[in-house]
Amino acid sequence: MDEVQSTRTESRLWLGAFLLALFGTAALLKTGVVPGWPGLVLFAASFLLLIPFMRSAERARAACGISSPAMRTHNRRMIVASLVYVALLLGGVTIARYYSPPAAVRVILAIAAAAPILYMIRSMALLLREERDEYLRMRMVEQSLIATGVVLTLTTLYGFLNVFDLAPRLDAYLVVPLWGIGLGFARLVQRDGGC
Amino acid sequence: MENRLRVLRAERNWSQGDLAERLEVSRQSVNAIETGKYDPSLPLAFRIAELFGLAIEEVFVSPSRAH
Repeated sequence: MDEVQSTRTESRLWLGAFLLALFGTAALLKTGVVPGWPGLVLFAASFLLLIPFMRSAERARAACGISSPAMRTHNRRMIVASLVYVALLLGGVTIARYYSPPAAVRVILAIAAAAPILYMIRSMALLLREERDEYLRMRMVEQSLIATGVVLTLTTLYGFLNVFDLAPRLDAYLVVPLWGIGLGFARLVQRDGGC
Repeated sequence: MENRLRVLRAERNWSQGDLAERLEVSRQSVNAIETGKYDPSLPLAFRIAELFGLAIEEVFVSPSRAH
């Protein structure tokens, strides 16, 4: 197995482990198999798998010749933002659930939980500005447009299913992970020289 | 856009990685330019030509003259 293939396989395995841990611990928490604090800690701990996943993805990109300093900086920002997000979200949810704070405090908790996600969006914008490699930058712009198209298509379709009472309402913040899935789809579509 | 990048690189025994390092771009960029999948900007095209000590038109073939 060549380096490109082996690093890509490793990266996919870490992604699979992360998603499995994420949805697995969420299910344990939601179904009450591991309720309360232990469940929340398990759910939060699953995000630590993002670190080996991002590192293996970086190795895969390097093997493909599409790594860059700007991308590495972006990945570091995304890992930090993800971990801060989990801490703020779980902290906020716990405070809201157990202390029933007034509306003003809940607004602050909501903004605090959203802040790391807004930072991730900002990091994407910074990546486009900081990327010195014009070809990689062009690829990113294309990926962003495809991801935006995926989000617009799916949310429009889902919205009308919702209007006709065929689908339940979903939380609006889900557009960000949906956009991330769109980016993954764009990278698959765009595969360049087997990478 | 057709170009002579692969030939010029081979003449110097440079890999795509070697050329990418000299141009301070990614290896995938060199590959995309070499295979005609991506047309470089004018500043990058100048950098490539200057690296080989040639004029731009000696590296890249004008689309109107390509066969």
